[in-house]
Amino acid sequence: MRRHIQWSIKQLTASYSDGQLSPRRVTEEALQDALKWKTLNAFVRLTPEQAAQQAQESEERYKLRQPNSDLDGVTIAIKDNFCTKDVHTTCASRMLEDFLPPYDATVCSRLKQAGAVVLGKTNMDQFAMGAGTVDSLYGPTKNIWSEDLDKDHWRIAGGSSGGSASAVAAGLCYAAIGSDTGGSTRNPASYCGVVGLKPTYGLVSRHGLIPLVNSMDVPGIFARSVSDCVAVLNTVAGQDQLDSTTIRKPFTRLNLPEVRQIDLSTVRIGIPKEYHCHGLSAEVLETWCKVADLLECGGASVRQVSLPNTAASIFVYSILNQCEVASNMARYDGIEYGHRASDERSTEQLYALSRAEGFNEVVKTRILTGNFLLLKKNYDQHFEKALRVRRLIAEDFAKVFDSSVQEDRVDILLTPTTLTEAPLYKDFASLTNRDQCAVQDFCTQPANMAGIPAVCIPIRLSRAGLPLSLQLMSNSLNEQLLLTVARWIEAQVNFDSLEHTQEYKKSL
Amino acid sequence: MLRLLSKRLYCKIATKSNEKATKLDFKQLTHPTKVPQTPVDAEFPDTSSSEIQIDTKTIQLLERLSLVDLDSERALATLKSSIQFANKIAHINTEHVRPLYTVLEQQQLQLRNDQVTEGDCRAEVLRNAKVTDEDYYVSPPGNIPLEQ
Repeated sequence: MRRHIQWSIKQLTASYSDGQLSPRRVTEEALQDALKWKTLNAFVRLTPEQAAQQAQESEERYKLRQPNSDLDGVTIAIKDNFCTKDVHTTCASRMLEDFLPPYDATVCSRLKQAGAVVLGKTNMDQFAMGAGTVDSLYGPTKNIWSEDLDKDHWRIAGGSSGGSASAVAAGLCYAAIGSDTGGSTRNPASYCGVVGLKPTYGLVSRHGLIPLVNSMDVPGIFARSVSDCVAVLNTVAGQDQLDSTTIRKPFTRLNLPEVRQIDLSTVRIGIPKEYHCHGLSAEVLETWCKVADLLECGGASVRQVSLPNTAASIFVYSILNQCEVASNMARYDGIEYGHRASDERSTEQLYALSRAEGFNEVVKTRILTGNFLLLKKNYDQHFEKALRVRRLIAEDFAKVFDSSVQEDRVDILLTPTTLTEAPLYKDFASLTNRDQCAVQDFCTQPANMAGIPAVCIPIRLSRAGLPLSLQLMSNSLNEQLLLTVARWIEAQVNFDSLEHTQEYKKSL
Repeated sequence: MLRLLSKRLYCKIATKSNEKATKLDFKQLTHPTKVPQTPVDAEFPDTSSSEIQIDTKTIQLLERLSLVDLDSERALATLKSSIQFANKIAHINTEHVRPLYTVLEQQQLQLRNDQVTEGDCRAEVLRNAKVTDEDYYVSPPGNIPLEQ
């Protein structure tokens, strides 16, 4: 294994500055590694020419001692639902198989501006509708921690941003961009043993992110450490003229204290009891208890809290998702862009056949159900009802974060991310899409309902040798404290995101 | 050579045991845990027994609205079970609770000035259409109802 893969972004860019490594070499090696690990199916498309060009430009900036930012020359990957100028953006669907965006998503343009090297586009569930990266036009993504990658004994990477998680976990890039509507960044981060951040809704621009559920979608960040994650967040966050739902308050770059300077004595941790749901594995429970205990030993106050509407969240999420999907998917008609069928009898006929051919069954069923729930006779009792319960769920969080009684307040919530380690593909594929999402997203989607930030961090390996992770949530725009506590935990548990690689195991 | 090898082996074992020494014991807790040890139950009505009836007229309406076909028995069953799933929150009391459309409801939506800020991208936009004629998109005849 290449030694520099183990480095942080800070160490990598420092080695560019002192000439020890060059962006071109790191990029070339990363592209070679991506091909070598093709079996993971992390990338749906590599962009070697563009990457070489960006690396070349970065190298010249370092020669002049004028790098653009902390991310200059750092290799990253981008989920295939972010528009990339002149690079195909498919949402892993037949519908957008040939779509060539004429512009960059804001996240991509900011990364490019910062000098980051984009290696390619990563795999996902079609239109991000899934929790496994098993429903992709390009086939499923595999988890690098699998006991066996060849036979049918491999583990799923999680989803829907499984390709991005897999790429970071395999050491193919230093960070990756995903999206998170109900857990699509945190779920694969949990299974793949990397850090996955869902920022506050509106902190990072959605411009150019092909929408799933507009009121919940956020770009997500994958990295192998909390501080690498912060470096990416600092680059992409902040108001955007092109997205009216970005938060207008100016973004202050995060600056995390060193681990030994972190003082937990003023930090109040809440354990929401409803997050112990049916199906939580004994190992995840044990991990949850241990980290809560570590925090208490570290000086934080830890206590149990209640978020009584938590269990309603999966139903509300399901309704709102299908309703917004029905509306968002209406744009795909095969005329201006996207798959066009060959039925020329009438406009409606062409639309219908293009959509029948371009969408998979999951997408179609969500559109039909969404339109049913939005029918005039159902609108109030389903759609509006779900939005009212959504407020109850959001208020649960407000009550613990902003309680008027000082003693009742907490700063951070500690919960599981996924209920288990990464499932075997054959077990996961035997469930329906709805059950796949409803079960494994139990702990992740409430944060999207309330728009609050949440981060998934790997803690330890299960008996089967697979990553077990936990989730931290905090109040809106409280990323600084959220990630400070995450960094403290990271230092205590000392999880090695790269412990899986065969070469690494041999070198031990 | 052999000596070198054995020396290396010794180093590896040494680092390994060091790692083990700092390894956390996940069974060992210092404080009484605040994490509930058994699942916290949430009661939701079983809606799977209530039969969902969707008449042919509604199905045709949905197909027209969605412009996707509901052709198989399996698709219809999935639709019905999704509706049953949605019915699970019907009993929750939401009197006097306003719908939460956006979590940014406290923030006023910003409007930009009505000025052209980009353009001259006709070729780039039209390149994504499968059929064009000069600078036009082409579609088959309209105003013909969907065959159902």
